[in-house]
Amino acid sequence: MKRYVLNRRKYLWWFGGALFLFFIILAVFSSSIAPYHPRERFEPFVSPSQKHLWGTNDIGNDIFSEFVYGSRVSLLVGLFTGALSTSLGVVIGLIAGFHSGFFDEVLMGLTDVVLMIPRIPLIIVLSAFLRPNMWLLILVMSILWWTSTARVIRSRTMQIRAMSFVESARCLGFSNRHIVFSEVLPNIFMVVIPEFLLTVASAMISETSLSFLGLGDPSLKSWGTMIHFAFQRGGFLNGMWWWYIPPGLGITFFVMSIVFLSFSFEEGEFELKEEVKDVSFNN
Amino acid sequence: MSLLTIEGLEVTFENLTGNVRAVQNISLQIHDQETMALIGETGCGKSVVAQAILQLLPGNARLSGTILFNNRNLLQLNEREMASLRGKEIAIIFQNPSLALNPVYTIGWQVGEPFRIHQNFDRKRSLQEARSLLAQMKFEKPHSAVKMYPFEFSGGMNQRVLIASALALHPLLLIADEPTRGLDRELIDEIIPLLDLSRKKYASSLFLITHDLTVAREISDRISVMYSGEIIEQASASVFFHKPLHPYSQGLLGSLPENGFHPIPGHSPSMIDFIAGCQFHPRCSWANDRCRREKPGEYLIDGQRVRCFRYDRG
Amino acid sequence: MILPTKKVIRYGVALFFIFTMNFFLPRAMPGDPVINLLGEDFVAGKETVEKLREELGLNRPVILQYTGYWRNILHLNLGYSYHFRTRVSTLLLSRLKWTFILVMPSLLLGTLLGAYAGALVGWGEKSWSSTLTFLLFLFIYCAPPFFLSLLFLYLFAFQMDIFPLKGFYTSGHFGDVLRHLFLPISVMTLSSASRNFMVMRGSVLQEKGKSYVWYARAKGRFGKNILFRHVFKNASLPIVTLFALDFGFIFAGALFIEIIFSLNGMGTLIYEAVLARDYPVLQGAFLIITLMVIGANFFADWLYSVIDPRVRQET
Repeated sequence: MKRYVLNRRKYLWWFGGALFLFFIILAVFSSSIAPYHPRERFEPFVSPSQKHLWGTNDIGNDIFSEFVYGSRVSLLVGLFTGALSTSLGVVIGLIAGFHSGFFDEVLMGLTDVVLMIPRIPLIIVLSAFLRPNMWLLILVMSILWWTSTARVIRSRTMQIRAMSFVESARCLGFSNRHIVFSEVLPNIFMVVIPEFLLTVASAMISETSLSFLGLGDPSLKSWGTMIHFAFQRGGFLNGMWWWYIPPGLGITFFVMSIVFLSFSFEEGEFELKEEVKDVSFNN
Repeated sequence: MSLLTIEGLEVTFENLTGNVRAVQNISLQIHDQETMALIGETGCGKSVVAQAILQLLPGNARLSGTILFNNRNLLQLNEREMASLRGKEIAIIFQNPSLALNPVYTIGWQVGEPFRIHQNFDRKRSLQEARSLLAQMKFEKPHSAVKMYPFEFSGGMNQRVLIASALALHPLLLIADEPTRGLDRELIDEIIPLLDLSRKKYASSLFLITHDLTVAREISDRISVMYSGEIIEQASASVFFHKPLHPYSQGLLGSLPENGFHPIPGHSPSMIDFIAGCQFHPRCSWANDRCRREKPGEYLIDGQRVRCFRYDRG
Repeated sequence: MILPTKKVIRYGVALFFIFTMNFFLPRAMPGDPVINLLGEDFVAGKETVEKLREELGLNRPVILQYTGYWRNILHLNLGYSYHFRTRVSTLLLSRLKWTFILVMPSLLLGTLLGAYAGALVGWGEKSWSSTLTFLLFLFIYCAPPFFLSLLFLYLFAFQMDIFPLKGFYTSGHFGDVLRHLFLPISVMTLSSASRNFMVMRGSVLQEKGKSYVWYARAKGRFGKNILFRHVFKNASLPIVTLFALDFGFIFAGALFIEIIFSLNGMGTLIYEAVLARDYPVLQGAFLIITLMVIGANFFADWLYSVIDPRVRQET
């Protein structure tokens, strides 16, 4: 029974990985996969047909092509925000965890304050003042999203620092910098990955939501923007579900695949613990 | 009168990497009104025996044999039936008391728990009982103690709390799995007499599992020695400490400080090592060819049982 | 009730910092600060603009402007909206009431549902039903709240015509209000539940392997009894933390849900304000939301110390 259970779990992870790969391929090879260019105009408001798999929107763009190219925006925003904010979080977490005392207090205070800033409302307010722009969005999100990573890295760093092999490295005279790079970093790697993935997922959801409000970059047609136009230009009231359901499902499944992947890093540890202390109570 | 009879108990753990035989063919009896000590090194499987009695082993454990208690074979009971036994007829305490206690509930809540589980007492009444139990465990201020939390108590105090809750319903058998591990000498000298006294007052028998020979000597009536998953000697305490039969037991006594601190050569096998013949032969000065090939059975010498070819008179 | 000074300072500083940020924002943004403070619906001749510049104190040194800002806030004066033609504070308060009607029951139900389901799934043996529940909640977790609303609206209102498409009420009867609120509250409840589910499940899985659980079994506790009497309290601690961390996200989700369902709360207000570039409303809304987030954090901290005695020592 146990062996079977373990394999079934692996099914889910492989599925998540495959799904993720699917979207990556969609994004990278958009030009080969999409039948038309997303800005090419045809007859508007066409229902799904032979020529247009998912019909056309209000100005005649092929929805399927829009969808394929839209994956790029989500991916880009997600990855860049993830990379930037995770890096920021790791640096802050490392410094705070490694040098307790003053640095730790100050950095943790900063983290607390940034944590309490309402993120989406702030971005909405900023977007009202400034012209929406993808890179600006990435920058602002990165500045706001690093907090959970910093906290996790900090506690992990403190754990590692207390371990004996760091003590012995210290005694042997290695500089702090060396210790951080060769001893601490490899150990926090496993923790950084799920944090990175979850930040990517969160950034993608936020970008889609903001684009839905019309605050997205108008030069890039993200999935959120597609749904925005569907909602605004009568797509919803006219029951044209092929316009807004696919991009919505797209973002949902893309995020699901990322979350699956992040689980496989965490529950890898879980699985170990569960096996050692498997307590079956219901017999 | 035998309270608990273990016959041919075998415990194997199934892992993805292979099976581990933790306990092989264990047979022993615990009588009414007695303290039986199970002595052995860490990793020999004694805790597994303790947990097997109450069926508290992890899900990948496979058991065979019989454990008779009050004319029932415990290994054939289901979880619900076992649950009605646990804490009521057979209770267990183990090492690391601070972890055994739930950090977010008060001491009083936890000590009073057996009453609420098995006797349907309400909160108030179970708290009253908890207070009197703590008083008997030599807590000076039971009224304030019941309101405190485990993290506010020391390890020794928490151990006394565990003993209190274990004895709450006057179990027939109390199992103590390494109750003094990690405690310093002073605390041990406090806990052990308390355990002994409490057992005599509230329980019938004590199954004491320990690696500490001095503790065993202080309060036990009978001794069983376990090595690498097997019981290799059983005797009354007085006889055992005067004249142990098995080479391992002799080595154990020889390693005591008062006898010169002579260590036994070699190291004890881990559960995954496979040793042919007698489990102890690699470290035994007496070992001969037969020991290397065959497994010795149990031989009875004047009321003492020993698993060693040396005593094969046949 | 224990109010550790360290925590009070922490919240005070956060509040101070964010409010200060809100002060500098319109003054730091490109464009005329007068417009930034009054909104782009404000149309007037050059003389009026200069007069207003004087009135708004934009010609005074920054320090005085700053103290003036705080004085206004303490007097609950958040400015005037030219787009909506009313005081910002009155506007916000009236809309906030409706948002609460959406958010409060949903948060409560969502937390209970998610915690309960998550605990059961985390505790029990792996089965098809538990995996299915997990996948379902995962889907809800990953779907942006606005899309979930669209989906629900499409399925239940459009296709099946069970529920109305928009607004808080058409006739004003209590039953009618319920009908209108059913879908948005369901969406919000499920969204909140999915997050609580994930956390609770993980938390129970972790607690499951701990010694005190094993020991509760050794005392004679049986089956789910152990879950609810011993594990739940410990496992719910991350839920409390989640409430604090997630509140901002959940509240933002509520705003989106309001927009889709055309409910007359903060969400639609902000949406309109963005389109009209009504900055005073946006800023005021931001302040109110900040206050709520900080309040939620405060509440969560207090609740945590009630549940876990170990943190009470930090006074």
